[in-house]
Amino acid sequence: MKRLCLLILIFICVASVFGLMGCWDAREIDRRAFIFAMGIDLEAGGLYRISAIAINGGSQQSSGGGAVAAARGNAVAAASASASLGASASAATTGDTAPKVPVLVAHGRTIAESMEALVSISARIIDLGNLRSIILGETLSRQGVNDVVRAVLADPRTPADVILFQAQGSAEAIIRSEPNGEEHLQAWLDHYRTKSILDTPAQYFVPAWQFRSHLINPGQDAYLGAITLITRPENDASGAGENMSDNDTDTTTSQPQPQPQPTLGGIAVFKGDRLRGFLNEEQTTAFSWMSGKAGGRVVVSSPKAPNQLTTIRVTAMRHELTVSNHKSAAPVLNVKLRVTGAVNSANSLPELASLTAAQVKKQVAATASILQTDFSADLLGFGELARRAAPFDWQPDTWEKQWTKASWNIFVDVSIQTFGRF
Amino acid sequence: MGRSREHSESNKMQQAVFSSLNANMAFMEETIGHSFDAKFRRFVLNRGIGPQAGVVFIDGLTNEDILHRDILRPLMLDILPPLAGQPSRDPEDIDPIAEISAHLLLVAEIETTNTFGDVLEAVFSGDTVLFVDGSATALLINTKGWTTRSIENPDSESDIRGPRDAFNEDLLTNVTRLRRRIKDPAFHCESMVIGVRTHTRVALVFLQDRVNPKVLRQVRDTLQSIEIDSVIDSGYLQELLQGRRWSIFPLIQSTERPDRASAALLEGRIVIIVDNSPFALILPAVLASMFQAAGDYYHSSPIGTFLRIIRVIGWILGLFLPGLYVALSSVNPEVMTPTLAMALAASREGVPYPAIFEVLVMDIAIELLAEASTRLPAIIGGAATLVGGLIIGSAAVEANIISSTMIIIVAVTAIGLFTIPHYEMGLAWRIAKYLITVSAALFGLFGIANAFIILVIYLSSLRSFGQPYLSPVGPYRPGDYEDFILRAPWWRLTPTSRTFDTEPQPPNDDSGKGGS
Amino acid sequence: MGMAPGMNVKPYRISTGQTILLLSMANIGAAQLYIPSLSYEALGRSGWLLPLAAIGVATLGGKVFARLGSQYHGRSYFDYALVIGGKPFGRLAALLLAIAMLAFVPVVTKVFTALVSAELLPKTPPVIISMIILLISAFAAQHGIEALTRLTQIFSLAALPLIMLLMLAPLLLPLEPGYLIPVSLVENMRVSASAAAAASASVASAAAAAAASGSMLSQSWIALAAGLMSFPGFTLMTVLTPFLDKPHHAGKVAFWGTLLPAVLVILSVAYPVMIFGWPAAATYARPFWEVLSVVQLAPAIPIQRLAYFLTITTRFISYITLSVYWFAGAAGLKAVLMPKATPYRRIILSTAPIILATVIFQRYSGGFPEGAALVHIALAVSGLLIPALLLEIALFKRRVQDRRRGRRS
Repeated sequence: MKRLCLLILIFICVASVFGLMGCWDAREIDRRAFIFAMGIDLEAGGLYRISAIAINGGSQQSSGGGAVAAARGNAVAAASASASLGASASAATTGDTAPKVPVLVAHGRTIAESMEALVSISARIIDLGNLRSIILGETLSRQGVNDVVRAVLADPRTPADVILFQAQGSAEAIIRSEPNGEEHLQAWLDHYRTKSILDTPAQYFVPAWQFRSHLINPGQDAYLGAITLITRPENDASGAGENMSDNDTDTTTSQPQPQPQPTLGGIAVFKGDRLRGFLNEEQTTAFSWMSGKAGGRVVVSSPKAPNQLTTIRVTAMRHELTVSNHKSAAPVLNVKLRVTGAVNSANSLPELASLTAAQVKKQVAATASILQTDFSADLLGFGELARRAAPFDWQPDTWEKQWTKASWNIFVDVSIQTFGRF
Repeated sequence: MGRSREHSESNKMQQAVFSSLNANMAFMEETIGHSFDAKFRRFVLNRGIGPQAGVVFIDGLTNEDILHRDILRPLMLDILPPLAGQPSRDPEDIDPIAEISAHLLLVAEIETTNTFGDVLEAVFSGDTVLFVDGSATALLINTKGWTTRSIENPDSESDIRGPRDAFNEDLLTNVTRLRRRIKDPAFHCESMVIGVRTHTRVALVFLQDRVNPKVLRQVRDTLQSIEIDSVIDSGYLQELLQGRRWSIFPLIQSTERPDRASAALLEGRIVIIVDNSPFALILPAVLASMFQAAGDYYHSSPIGTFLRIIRVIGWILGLFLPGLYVALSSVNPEVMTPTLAMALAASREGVPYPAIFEVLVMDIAIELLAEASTRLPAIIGGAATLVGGLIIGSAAVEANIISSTMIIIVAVTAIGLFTIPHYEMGLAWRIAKYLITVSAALFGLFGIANAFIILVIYLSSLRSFGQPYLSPVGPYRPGDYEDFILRAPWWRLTPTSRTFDTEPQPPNDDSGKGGS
Repeated sequence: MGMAPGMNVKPYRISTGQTILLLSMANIGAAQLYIPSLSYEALGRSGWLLPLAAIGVATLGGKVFARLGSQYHGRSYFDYALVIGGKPFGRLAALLLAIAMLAFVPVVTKVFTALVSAELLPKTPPVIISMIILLISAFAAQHGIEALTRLTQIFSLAALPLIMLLMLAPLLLPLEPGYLIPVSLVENMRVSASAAAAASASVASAAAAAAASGSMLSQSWIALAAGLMSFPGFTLMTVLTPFLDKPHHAGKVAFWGTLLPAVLVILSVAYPVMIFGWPAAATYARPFWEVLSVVQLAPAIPIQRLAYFLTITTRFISYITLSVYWFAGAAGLKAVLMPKATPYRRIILSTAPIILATVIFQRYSGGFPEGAALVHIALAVSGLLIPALLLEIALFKRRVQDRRRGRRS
C-alpha cells in the first residue's frame, strides 16, 4: 500500500512537471512562416532595414490567384501590426505588382532589434531554421559588415550554412524581385546553385562561415557573390538589360514596366569588412580560375582568321599558388594554371591551345591587377601562403605593404580536347 | 462459512477409499451425484459369481466404447478363477483389484489409489473408477475420450511455408505434436497439476541433454510453488512465472505452432504446455527470438535474412514514425529540406489540432479497429474494418480534422508493428511507441532520443530466467549473430555448439526469481 | 530451428574488450563536448597536440591501476586505498576521487544541456533539460555496472559507426591543412593571446576578457593542465578492476580505451582549424558542431542537418559517460562513508539534488563551463597523482616486508 502510494505520488509529480512544461519549443508547422531569404540594408538615418521572404503552408497550398490572395492577406496582416521601437511593417500593396510571396520588412537600430521587430510584425511564428540566403545592401557593406555578420550568425536560430550575397544597390529590391519562371528569389537561387559547377562559378555562392573566416583570419580578404537587378526589354535578345542597381525600393511606380530580374554577374570584393567594389563576370571567371575552379569560356580567334571565333569551355583547372621572396618588400606572386579545355571541333589544337593560354593569362593578369591595385584585396590568400612559409615572422601589417608592391608571375598551360561529332 | 465449506471439501479429498462398495458408491454419489453427467453403475463380477463392483464415470469425458467393450464386458462376462474360488487359494490372499487388472481388463493404462482425491481427479479427467466390494483400493482406468477440436491451422502465427498444424486444447495431443517431431530418448515430459479448483494438468517438456539444469530447476520450483485457484489458460502461468509483474515486454514466449516449440526444445529451452490452452510457453525468451518467425528457417538463407530485415524496418518505422512526424512538424522542422517542410506545412494547413493530438487520435482509432476486428465474426469483420478505415481515413481528411499525411503515417505504423511475429511483443511496442510520441511532442528529436534511451536502459536490465533480454546485442555475442538478423545457411548453423550454458547469469539485485 | 540468439551467455565478467568499449564511450561522451575549445585555449591552432599527449597520461594512469589491481585482487581502489594509505590518508584519497567523479557529472551535464539548448530546444528552460538528462542518467546508473556494460555495447553498435561517418563528412568541405602550420607550442601560446583579443566574434568568456587584459597565459596553463587530462576514463578502472577477468590488462585497457576517443577528438580539434582557419575556429563555442552544420549533403537527401544527428547520436554516449561516472562516484562514497549493504540506488538518488543544484548554479560561457578545467585537474590529482603515490607507498611497504622476510629466513 505504501509502495503504491509512493508510486502514485511520483507519477503525479512527473506528470505535473511534464504537464506544466508548456512545450516551449513546440510550434505547429502550419503556424510558422519560413524565412528563406533575407535582405539587410542600412538606411540614411542609420537604421537597419531587414526584408524577408516569409512563406507558409497557406501560400504553398494556393497557386496563381490564390497565391496572390494569400500574399495580400499576409501583407495586410503584416501592415496592420503595430510599430514599436522604430519597427514598422510594410509590404507590397500595389495590385498588379503584388509579390507572389509575402515580404516582411522591419527596421531597428541594431540587427538584433530589427530581427525582433520582424518577429513581432509577423502574424505567424517566424522560423529561421530554413534560412538559405542573406543579401547585404551596398550602402551597408561599404560602411562595414563585421557587426552585421556577427549579429546574424551569433543567433542560433540562423543556420550556419546560410549563403551571403552582396546586392548592387538595395537588398530589399532584390528580395522583392520576381524571377521569371520561379516562385520567388530563393527558388531561383536554389535552382541556379544546383546547376553544374561548370556553368556556375562556386564563387557566387559564398557561405556565411567562409565569409566570416575571411573577415577574421589574417592573410586573406573576403568576397561575396554579387546580385544585380536587370530589366530586359521584350525585344532585347542580347541578354544585357538595364542595370537596376541604382533603383530604390520604391515599387509604387505608376508606369508598368517589365519586372526587374535578378542576375548573378560577378563578385563583390571586400577589404577588411568594407566593400571595395565589384568584379564583372569576366573578371570573376578569371578569379575562379586562379582559385582552381573550372568553368567559364574563352573566346579566341586565330591571327590567320581573325573573324573566326572559337569558344573553348574550361572543363578542368589545376592551380598552384606560391609566394617567392616573401621576406622582401616586393614578393613575387606565382600563379600556375593547368587548364583543360573542351571544344566541339577544331582544326589545329596546338595553336588553339597557345591562343587559349595567352587569353587566359591576359584575363588573369588583368584581374590580378585590379585586385592588387584598385581594391588592394588579397582574395586568393597569398598572405596566408606567406604566413605558412614563415609563420614566426609574418605580420599582417607588413604583408599589407608587401602586397601592394608584389609582382605577378603567371604561367598558364592549356590542353584542349574535342568532343564534337566531327 | 466459505472456509468451512472449503475445509470440508479438502477433507473429502483426503478421505481413504472404503473397503465397502456401498460406502464408496455412497461417497461418490454424495460428492458428485448432483451433476447429471456423473454416472454410477453397479454390477456383479464373474458372471454373477464374483463380488459386487461399481464404476463411476463422467458422461462426455469418457469413451463409452472402451467402457462397454474393454471394461464392463470382461468384468461381467468373463470368469476369473481366483475370484470364482478356483484353484483353491486362501481368499484372504486374493486381491481382487490386482487380479482384475492383471487378467480381465483390456485397457492399457490402469492405476490404483486409496484416496478419494485421486479418484475424483481421475474421474474429472475422463477416467473410469472401479470399486470392488471388499477392497480398499480403487482402480483408475483410462477411458479418456472427450470430443476435442481437431488440429487446425495456426490463427495467430500463419506463414507461407512450413507445417500448418497448431496446438489445440488437449494436452496429450499437444505433447504428441512435439513427440512426432523429436523422436529422441532425451525428450522428457514431466507433468504436474496446478490450480486448486481446476486441477489443470501442466506438462514441462525439455531435452534432458540440452536444457540448462539450473533453469529447469528454477522453473520447476516456481511452478510447484504456484498457488492459484484456477489456470484457465497458459497466460495465467506466463504472468506468474515472470518475475517482473509490471513489465509490458514478455519475458516468456507463447506459440501456437508445434514446429516452433520443437525448435525451441532443440535450442535447449523449456516448453510448458497447459491443458485446455492452445498456446504453449517457451522460456527463456529474449527480445531477438520474438522477432524471428518460423518461416525464416524454411526459406533459403538470403530470403530468411531479407524477411527479418523487413521486419526490423517495419519495427523501426512503427516505433519512430509517429514520433518523428510530431517532432518534425511541431518542434524541429529545420531538420527537413525546405521542400519537404513546405509540403508538410501545406498538408497541415487548416487542421485545427496540434500534430500530437492528430497522432494520438489516429493511433487510438487504429487500436480500436484492431481490437474490434478480433471480436467481430469473420463474416462481417472484413466489411466492418473496411468501412472503419474508409470513415476514419477519407472522411476525417475531408473534414480537415486530420491531414492526409497522417493517414500514411498511421497506416505505415500499423503495418510495421504487425510484422512482428510474436503478438505480445507487437503489443508491447505498440504501447511503447506512445512514450516516444509523447516525448517527441514535448522535446522533439531530443525527446525521441531520450525515450528510446529509457526503453533501452529498461530492456537491458531485464532478464528472462537468467538470460539478458537484449542478447546477443548486449552482452555482445558474435557467434549468435549468425541467427540474429542474419539467418545463416544451415551448413553454418550448428545447434550443438550453441546451447544454454550450464551456469545461468546471476539474477539482479532487486529480483531473484522468475523472469528477472 | 537453429540456435536461439543470446542463449549462450557465459557467467558475467567484464572482458578486456568490453572494458575498452566502456572506457571509449565514457571518454568520447565528455571529450567531444568541450575538449576542442579547451585545446584551442591551451595551445591555439596546435591544440590537436593536446589530445595526443592526453593518451600518454591516460595510459600511465591505467598502468598505475594495473599494478595496484594486481596486488589487490578483486578489490576496488576505494577499498585498497584505505589499506595502503591508512585510515585518514587513504580514506581522504578515496573520498577525493569519489567526489571528483561525482563533480564530473554536473560538468558534462552542463555542456550537454548547453548543446541541446542551443541546437535543438532554444526556448525550453535549460533546467528542464538538465533534469531530464540527470533523471535518465540516474535511471541507468542505478542498475549497476553489468547493465551499463550491456548498455554500452548496445549504444556503441549504433553510435560508433554513425560517428565514424560523421567524422568523414567534413571531407566534403574544403580542407586546408596549411592552417595548422606552425605546429608549435611556443608560437601558439603567444598567438592565442593576441588572436583571442583580436577575434571580434569571440564568444564572451572569462578567457577572452583575460586575454584582453593580458592575463591569457595563466588561463592557457590551466587549460593545458586540464587538457592533459582530456580522457579521464582510466579513472573508472578504480571500480572496474574487480570485475575484469584479467586485471593486469588495465594498462592496455586504458590505452585502447583512450585511443579511439583521442583520434576522434584530434579530428574534432583539427577539422575546424582546417576549415574555418585560425583564429576563426576558436571563436565558435562548439567548433566541431559548426563544421558539421556547414556540411552540405546532396539535395536528394531529405535530411540536411548533420549536426543534429551528431547531437542525437552522441547523446547515447554522453548518457553512458554520465551514468558510469555517477555510478563510480556512488561506489566510492559507498565504500568510504556508508555501510556495505547500502544499495547504489539510494546513493545515486540522494546525490541527484546536489548534482542538479551544481548544474544550475554553474556558470557557462564560451566552449566549456568554468568548472570543467578544475574538475579535470581534480581528477588528475585524485585519479593519477594520488594513486601513483599510493602505488609507491605500496611498493615500498612490500619491499620492507620482503626484506624482513629475507632477514628472518
